[in-house]
Amino acid sequence: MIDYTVDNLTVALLAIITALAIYHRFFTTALPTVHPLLLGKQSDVSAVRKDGESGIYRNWATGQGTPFTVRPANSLKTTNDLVPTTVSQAGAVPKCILDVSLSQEALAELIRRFPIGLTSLFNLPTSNVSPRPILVLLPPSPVTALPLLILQLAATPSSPLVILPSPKLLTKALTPAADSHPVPGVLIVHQSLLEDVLEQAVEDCGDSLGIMVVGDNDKSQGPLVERAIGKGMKVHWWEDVWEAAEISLNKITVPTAHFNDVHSYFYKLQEDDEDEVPPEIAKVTHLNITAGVAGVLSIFPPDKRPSAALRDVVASSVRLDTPFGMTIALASIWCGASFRFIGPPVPIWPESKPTESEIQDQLRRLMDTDQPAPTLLFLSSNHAELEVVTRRLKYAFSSHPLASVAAAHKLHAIRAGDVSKSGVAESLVWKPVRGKLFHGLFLDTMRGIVIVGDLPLMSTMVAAQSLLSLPISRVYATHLSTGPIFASHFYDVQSNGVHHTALLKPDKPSGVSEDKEKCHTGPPAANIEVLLKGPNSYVVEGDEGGKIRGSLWVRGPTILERVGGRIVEGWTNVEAQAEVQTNGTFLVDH
Amino acid sequence: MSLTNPLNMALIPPILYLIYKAIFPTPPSPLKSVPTEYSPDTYNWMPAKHPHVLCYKQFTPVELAQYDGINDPRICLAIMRVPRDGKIPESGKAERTIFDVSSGRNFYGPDGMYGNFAGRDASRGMAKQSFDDDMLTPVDQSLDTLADLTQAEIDNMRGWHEHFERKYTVCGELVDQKSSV
Repeated sequence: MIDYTVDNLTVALLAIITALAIYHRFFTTALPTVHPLLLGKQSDVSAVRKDGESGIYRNWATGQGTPFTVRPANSLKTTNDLVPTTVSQAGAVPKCILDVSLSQEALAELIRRFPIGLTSLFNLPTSNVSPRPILVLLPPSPVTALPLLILQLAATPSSPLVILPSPKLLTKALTPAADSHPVPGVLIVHQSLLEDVLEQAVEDCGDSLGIMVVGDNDKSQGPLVERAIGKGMKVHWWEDVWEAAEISLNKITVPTAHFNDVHSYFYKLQEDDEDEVPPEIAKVTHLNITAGVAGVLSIFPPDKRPSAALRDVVASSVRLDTPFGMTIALASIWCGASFRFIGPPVPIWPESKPTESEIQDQLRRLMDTDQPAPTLLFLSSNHAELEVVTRRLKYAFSSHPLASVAAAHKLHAIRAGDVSKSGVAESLVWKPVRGKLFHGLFLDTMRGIVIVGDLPLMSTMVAAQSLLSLPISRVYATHLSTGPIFASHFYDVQSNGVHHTALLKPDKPSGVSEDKEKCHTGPPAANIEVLLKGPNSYVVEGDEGGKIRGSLWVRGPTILERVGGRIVEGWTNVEAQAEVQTNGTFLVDH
Repeated sequence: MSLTNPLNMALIPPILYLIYKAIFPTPPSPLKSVPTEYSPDTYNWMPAKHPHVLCYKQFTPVELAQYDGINDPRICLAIMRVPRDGKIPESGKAERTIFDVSSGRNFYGPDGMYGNFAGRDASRGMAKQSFDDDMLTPVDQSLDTLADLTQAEIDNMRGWHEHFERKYTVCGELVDQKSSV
């Protein structure tokens, strides 16, 4: 018979086993950042629906019956209120606004002077009776983004903006249909297009259209400009507006806007852009913009919103010549954050999507030493930036000796609903991997990423969340909205998961059917309601687990009026197909 | 206190195993199916069913009579919506809103005080504040035109309609015959 003696070592070993067992039971499973019960019901659906339609879905936090938010604060009624004229201490601190160091005070002064100078140079109307819009044709680039932003902040009701995403729409904008918008009085164009534009302007408008040239600091187009002036055209440089404003400061009064006044018209470039097809034009009022700002801010929890106190820098690759892209910039300005645009350094009209190396260059450029590093990113899924970032990070991560261990820990944490930058693996593995790429863009400063547009694959999303240690929000917006239509919960990391080898061997597909599964884009945004129409837009009684899908109709203060379009009982058809899941989140087809 | 103690020797492997699993956990596999019920240990779940949504439609008196809480668990009743001018058209053709009052089963259910109204046009009863059987029109007859109501009774009916609109779900319209649209 073996003599089992319980000695002090036995007690110590038993205590160690107990401690380890308690650790495994209670401390290895991370706590979710958001309670899963909240993720099980993210939309509030109406109690009654019409035949052939789904119920009306709203965000769960908004609820049925409550009025929509049309502005984030009572003081914000028009775009003129986005940059306050009374300066606080925080407002005097310079911020990076599109790669230029500007304090709020300086920006407010630019916005105050710009319309005065423009009115003086081109003899624009100073009352709303017969508005003469300002036509804007600037290629998307950080170089041309600041003039566009100033135009958007300084737009007056007597001279609303008409913003073109492509030179192909110029003729249609110069000779608009009677019910679209007034004939423009001024065309603001980049110097690279000046020769073609002058020819077009003379052909369509004679000498009634003024031209303003942007982006020609060296005055290389000087001879062309002088020739045009000699023919009786009014052509000025962008820089002339400040001198004109100085002279006319006390002589010209521009009208103040009301929130129902038209702020701008946005053209959309369509695939079949034939001459006979009328362009799709969205009309934006100041109310649409303030509601859009509220919608953008509602993407974030209150403590994660862009903030001057946190010295936030918002960087966006969503073009500023789109309503949602403009609203992202304006929301950042209003919050007191800095704003930067991710785009090609040379102002060119993109003929195709940027290549992987171009995307990498654009992201690296954000870490130029003289500009503050971004803390919040809005990435356009059309440019596949997230895929590029994920691919590069996977490649670097897979060569780390502790990759397998770190991947297992991270995937466990995500499975439990936690994505954070805490833990030993974060400092030993994830941070060094992120620090090597994109000049450290995704290191400590980055605290939020929002994907706008097409939904990424579930596998890409999980991989991105693991590699970046950040929850990644998804937002869906269209040409007909200034704010998001759908916005996923900021902390929602629900998924079916991926095999851990998907993080270790980036070129090999995960080999599971989830590879084709797309992420949902969340419930309706805070100030939007959504309806699906069609034969499958409701479930038959008794089959409540069936699919609900149909054409997507939306309503809310951020939804724009389509010029010449049809609104049915206040609902706008955004011409997309969507499916609603049982937890109230939506999947939009593209 | 010695490792030669077989009890101590037996405790070493589980300790090493627990330490090993803490540092090198088994990676989670992708879910084959998503749980459809919430439990405290589950983060990734999706409800099995969509929320139930009633369909707004037209009912004839015979169809409405089904929803009396006995033949069907739902309880519905109809009340005329008084037009803006406060007068009932002579033909009696004004919208008769159907309310789903299932949440008020204590009042409108089979054993409730106002159980008579379940599945019926309650317009006259609401106007005259009476729950008698003679307030109800038989379901095989045309809808009550309510032509003999006084203005006070019409106003009373309007008040009840507004009360029901605030409290209960509007789920249809009572008609003599359904329109073809």
